[in-house]
Order: sequence, then structure tokens, then C-alpha cells
Amino acid sequence: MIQIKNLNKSFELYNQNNTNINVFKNINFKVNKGEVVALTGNSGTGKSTLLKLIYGSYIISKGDVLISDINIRKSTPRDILKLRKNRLGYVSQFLRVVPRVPTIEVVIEPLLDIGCEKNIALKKGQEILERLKIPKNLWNLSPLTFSGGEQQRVNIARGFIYNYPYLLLDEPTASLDQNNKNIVLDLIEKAKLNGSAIIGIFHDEIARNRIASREVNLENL
Amino acid sequence: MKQDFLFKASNISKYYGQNIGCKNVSLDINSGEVLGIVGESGSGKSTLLNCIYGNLELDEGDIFLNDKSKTILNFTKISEPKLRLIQRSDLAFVHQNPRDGLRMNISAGGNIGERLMAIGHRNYGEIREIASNWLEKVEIDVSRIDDKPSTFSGGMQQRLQIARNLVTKPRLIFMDEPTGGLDVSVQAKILDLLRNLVRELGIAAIIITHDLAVVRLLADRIIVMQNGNVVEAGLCDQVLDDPQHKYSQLLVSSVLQV
Repeated sequence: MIQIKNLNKSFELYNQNNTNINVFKNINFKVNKGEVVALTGNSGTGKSTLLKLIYGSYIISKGDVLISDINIRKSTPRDILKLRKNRLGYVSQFLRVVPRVPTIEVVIEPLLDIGCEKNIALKKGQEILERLKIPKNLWNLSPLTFSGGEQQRVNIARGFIYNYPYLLLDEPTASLDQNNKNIVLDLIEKAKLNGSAIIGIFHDEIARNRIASREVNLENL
Repeated sequence: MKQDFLFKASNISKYYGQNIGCKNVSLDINSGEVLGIVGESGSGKSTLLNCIYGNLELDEGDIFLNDKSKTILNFTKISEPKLRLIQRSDLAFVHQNPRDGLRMNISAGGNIGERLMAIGHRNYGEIREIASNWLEKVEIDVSRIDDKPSTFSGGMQQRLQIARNLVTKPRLIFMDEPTGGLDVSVQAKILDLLRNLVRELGIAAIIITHDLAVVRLLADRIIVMQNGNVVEAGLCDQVLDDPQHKYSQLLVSSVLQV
């Protein structure tokens, strides 16, 4: 279960006239196993900020994020790295990879990190790339030269190659055409059925209606 | 003291007369981790790296290495020859300028072979074979094995320096701006190489860089230095995406998109 308790986030910008930006205050909600919670609200309400707080990329100003028995605010960097490796996945809109590394290697990296044998990882990598309709002749090229939609699908392949019990999705279908969008929604649905607790931002209402168990609107909190 | 760390420096201080080189710096690293040290020039990064490698005498502090036999060695308490042996076997140091880390008047193969001989290899054929394998690993054409590094490009020299340092399978590698001064495509080659080596050999690395894009791709954790002090330390993406200290914020906001 993911539990958000009285969560506050503000940014103190020391070099910009000490501006203090309050993003949100006292956010509370829970996500159970097998649930997809969709974050809604206009841009600037802190949807991506909330995902980054859960993932440990942003520092929590006040309140708590609990992932199963782990309190993110009290975790050391090593605890968070371990959690990310084994349990907490994150799919962003942007692909950040070492240049020159072939797509297939990028995709199987999370499996190698948990000690999966390379042959097995490669097989799973091929399966998911096929499923996401990335043409086979691109697998050994760096994804940095791919189109936006292809890059996003590589990111998704990386996020779904391993069954993370907790998943954060930041607009996973943003730059995809309808066909590819459906394939990705199928993957999310499968993860949901497998019992993952998922928090996501989906601007596309049809997508949201199809997979979200509940919505949390950050404007009304 | 917890026994699972690989390397640990506590409360390291180094002064140059009245000036602070670095002050009260502590860090630790485990096997398979990459730690980045960032900060502008003059912030004490190189001083710190040279101190913890054992190249500079400390004014304060202790350095511990959990060696291959699981014995904890204190650098400030062991003899000079013992420290040099550790530096050659367990540790490695990659200089920013490959000319500082290579012997420019001996062949590429000799540069790699010398390190093997220093730890006891004697069979010429075997040494040459290992050297060839390493040239391949760092993508230098094996036909250049008998050429002197002075005939190599800067990027090739840097890759040769990395091969020379890694051939003895060190457990911790110190790097001072390993991709500084190289053009972007060569940087990418070296980053790719470093990542693979960290994973395949399970080595740990402490890397100084002022390139935040490089540190984001390589490091698990980073420390930010200013005027010889550590002003912030933490998870790599946290320090880059939500820096808490005034100086880290300035550093992150001064670069084009990382």
C-alpha cells in the first residue's frame, strides 16, 4: 500500500529573491494493491511534484509518504535506491540514457540490476519491445535518435519489464497514437490485475476512465 | 564500526597554509556504487580526491579501506610502501589529463603491462594477451599496441589511461574529470564504458566532475562542495532536481537542462 499523510511541499528558491513557492498542503490518500489512482488538476497543481516526492527525487517539506513499511522521509539515499531497484518503478515522459547504449540494453537494465541472468532478461526485453511494436531493426540502436513516441515506448518497456509492486506513471501515453495508447493501457491494466499499486497522471480522459479505480483531484484538497 | 563498507573517509581536513583545501569532509562508499563530487573549480574537489587516495598528507581525519581479506586498513596508520601497494592493487586513479596518468614514452601495450608486472605478472605472452583484450574493451585498435600514446588522440589516451588503471581489477577507482576536455561523442564512449565496468566488475567509483549531465547518468549519490566544505549530499536526482542549499541551487540553475 502507498500512503500519503498530511503531505506538504514548498520550494525555497534562495537565488531568486528567496521566493517561497507553496505547491500543496495536507494531502492525504491511500492506494491499495491492485488500484490505479489518477491524479487530476490543472497544470501547476503539483501532480508531477507529488510523484517525485513519492519517488524520493524531491525532499518532503512536511508529512509522510509510506510505501508498505518504508517511510520515504526517514529513508537514506541507499534505502531509496534499494526500494527503486526492487519495488518502486517510475515511468516519466522523458528518456534519459547514456548515449550509444542500444535500446535492448536500456530496456533490460532494471532486470540486470536485480541480478536476473542476461539471457532471460534479453528474452523478456524482446517480448516487451515486440509487444510495444518497436521495429526489430531498432533494437540495437540507441533510442536517443528515435521519434518522441518511440522513445516514450522504450521508457514504458523499461518500466514494465519488471513487475514492480508500486508504480508511478507520469503521462505514460502522452505522445502516442491511439493504437499504441491501447497497448500501453493494456500493460497498465495487467499490472493492476497483478496487484501493483499504481499512481498516475493521465491527461487523456478516455484513458483515465478506462483504467483509473479512483481520481484524486489536487485542486480540491 | 559497520563492516560492510568498502571505503570510508571521516572528517578529512587539509589546509594550504591559511587557506582551506577541504574541511571536515566525510564520505563512504560500498562496492558497485558510484559517488559523484560536484562543485566549481577551486571548491576543493581535487584536493579531497587526492587526500582520500593517499596522495596528499591529511591535516585531520581518517581513511579506512575494507581490503580484499576483509581487514580494515587505516591509511594514516600504515607504512608508505604498504599504502603504495594498496594504491596499485585495490585502488586506481584516473587523472583529468591522460598525460599525468600514462607513460608517454612507452608503448600502449607497455602502459597496460607495466601495471600487471607491478602486481607480479611475469609471462610476456600472457601480459600481451591481457593488454590486447583491454585495448579491445576500450575500443582502441589492437594494431596500435606497440605505438606510443603520444601518437594517440586525446580521447584514445584517456581510454588507454582507463585500461591501464582497470587491468589490475581495482575495487575502487578515483576519477578526476575523466571526460573533461573530450568532445561529446568520445565522452559518450567513455561513459558507456564506465557504466559497463561498474556493473560487470562490481567496482566502485568516486568521480569528480563539473558536468552535471555526466553525474546524472553515472552517479547514485552526489556531494556538492563549495570553498572546501560539503554543502549538500544525497541521492543524485534529489540533489539535482530539488537542491536544498543555496549554492547547489545556483550550480544546478546555471546549466542548460540536465
